Amino acid sequence: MTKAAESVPRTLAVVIAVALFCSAMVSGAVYLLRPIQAAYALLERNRTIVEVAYGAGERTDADVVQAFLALDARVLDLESGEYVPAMDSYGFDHWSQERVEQGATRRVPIYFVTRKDARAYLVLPVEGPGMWSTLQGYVGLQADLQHIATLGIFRHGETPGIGDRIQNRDWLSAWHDKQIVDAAGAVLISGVKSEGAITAYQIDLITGATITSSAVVRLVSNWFGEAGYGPWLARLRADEPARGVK
Amino acid sequence: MTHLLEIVLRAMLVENLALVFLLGMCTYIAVSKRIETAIGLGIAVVVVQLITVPVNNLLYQYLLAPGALAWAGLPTLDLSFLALVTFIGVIAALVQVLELVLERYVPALQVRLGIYLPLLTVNCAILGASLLMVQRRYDFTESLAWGLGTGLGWALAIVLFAALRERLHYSDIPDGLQGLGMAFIVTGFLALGLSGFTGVEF
Amino acid sequence: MRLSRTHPLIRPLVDDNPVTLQILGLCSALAVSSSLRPALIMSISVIVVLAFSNVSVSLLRYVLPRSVRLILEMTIIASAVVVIDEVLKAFVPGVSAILSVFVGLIVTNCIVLGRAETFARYNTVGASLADGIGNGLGYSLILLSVAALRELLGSGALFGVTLLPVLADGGWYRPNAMMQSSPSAFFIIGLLIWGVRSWRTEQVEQPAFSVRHAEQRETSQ
Repeated sequence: MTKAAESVPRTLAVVIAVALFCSAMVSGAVYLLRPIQAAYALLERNRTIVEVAYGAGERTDADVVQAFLALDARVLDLESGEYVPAMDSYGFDHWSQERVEQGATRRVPIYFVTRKDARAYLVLPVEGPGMWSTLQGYVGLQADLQHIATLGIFRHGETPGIGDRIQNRDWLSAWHDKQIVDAAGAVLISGVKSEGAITAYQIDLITGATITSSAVVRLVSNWFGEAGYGPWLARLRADEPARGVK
Repeated sequence: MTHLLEIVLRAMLVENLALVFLLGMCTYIAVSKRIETAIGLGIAVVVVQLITVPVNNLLYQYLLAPGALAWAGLPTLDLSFLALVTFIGVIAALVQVLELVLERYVPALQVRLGIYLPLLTVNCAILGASLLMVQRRYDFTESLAWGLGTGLGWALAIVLFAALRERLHYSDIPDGLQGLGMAFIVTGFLALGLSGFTGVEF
Repeated sequence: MRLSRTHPLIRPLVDDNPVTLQILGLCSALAVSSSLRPALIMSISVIVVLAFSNVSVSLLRYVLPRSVRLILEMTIIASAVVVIDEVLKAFVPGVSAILSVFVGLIVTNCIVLGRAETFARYNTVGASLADGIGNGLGYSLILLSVAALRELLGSGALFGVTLLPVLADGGWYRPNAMMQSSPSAFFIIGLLIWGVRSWRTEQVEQPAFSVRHAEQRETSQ
């Protein structure tokens, strides 16, 4: 190494060049990989979302992560009805312990499904009190934003064998094609203990688990009313031509 | 207080960095040929651990952890991926300082340790202790205890091993096992002995 | 292309193996060796870091300032390790959790800094790349051998595929509990070294003291 190579400016130049290159490499890797890591961290939640969006099926963890990241996730502010682009919509866990403690739950992640062969058009998180616990789940809406495509229950603390029958495949698939709201936005959906024919906006409650299943119906109807997604969905429906809905 | 003492004792015996976690092996095998050198290196390791682990803990808690920068008005920033680089920097700086201090006040030790003192910078045990401290989310006083315990544990392991190796000089060992091979097998027995502490509650 | 025994890609496999001769990279060779899958991921990570670090240092070998040389090398190595760690956490989070701090500890893996200092600084990019991969392979050879033995004898499986049905599953094999704990790694490597040095006797170390026999004492009078 000649004397010239040892000069301070040259040393500084090499040091800065190496530092910049390494920083770019590390930051780039972290920036690109964070969404995938976050998707794995929230794997069970994302599995429910993916099942509501695309239907139930055999999926490896990697499949779930890939399908989840293919959704168009946004953070919706319920107060303003606007999206919050600055937030990480894929990693946003509005049901996490810290957020619940902070009492900040007026921002929710919502998921548009871009694939044409999917079951649902839009996946929305819903929650509400059950008999013994808070029930958390996802509603998959059809493209007309009035009819339901799929319902998925993510978390509950109900009685095993009784309340947990809300996760029963048959009951969940009975929600398919039910109408939650009419074209004007009035909430129609309600629960009945069936004696015979039920209408397109009634859900047959589970015999023996009436309280828990009616709690699910209640929380869905609350979330599609004025206090929940109602106003925002009304605006979305008004944009029907823009969304390319028939 | 007993909680801190428990951390120290667990780190020394049940979770010995050298014999249970198998960290710092290169230096462990290389410096254990004479007992005096081993004792000197052990002391150096204790000093380095006692300083780097708490310092790294503070850096992690107030700069790098997710949400750590809330005091600076950046609560959503998560710089934990920089932990590795930061800890290495702190350790390198501290070892450099230690070398200068030893050179000034205890030159005999600095000469005897030779290249192995700066090599503490890349000693897995030193970095490993800081990384484990983050993994276990210790607070400041716990990290002090952890640093002390891990340092003492590693020093204990290397001194014991050096004592055994000096005895090995007089043994008739097969050619293929001479030196390195026998060192591994003896260390294995040491580790086996120490595993008797597993499950002990302090 | 017939590679000679002295080629940088071949030499570190046996003749100059980083673990059994150079006494480098021991920590993870011992600690991650309890089953094959984490050992394989670890081996690949070390090879990638070694290749990247050797190539980088070799590219910079004419401009690296002497005063900050070590810090710059550590920065390059640490950056490569952070990237590998993030990639593993993203694509194989299960194994990444098992490897826990040991991926981060590749930064202090003596092999990486050792090869950068003793080889990459003085050789061309091509040779440095070969040397990096060769040393990585030598390290992997030891790590995977130990892991294979420990997993097979400790749980009757290789890569999770059962080869020796264990008693708990109705088979005949009683898993060797010692193989599951860390001391076994030491024993296996010790015996491996014995084997290698019996084959390549030029690696045998000279004893520190040799016992002087009675005849020798008389002749030296």
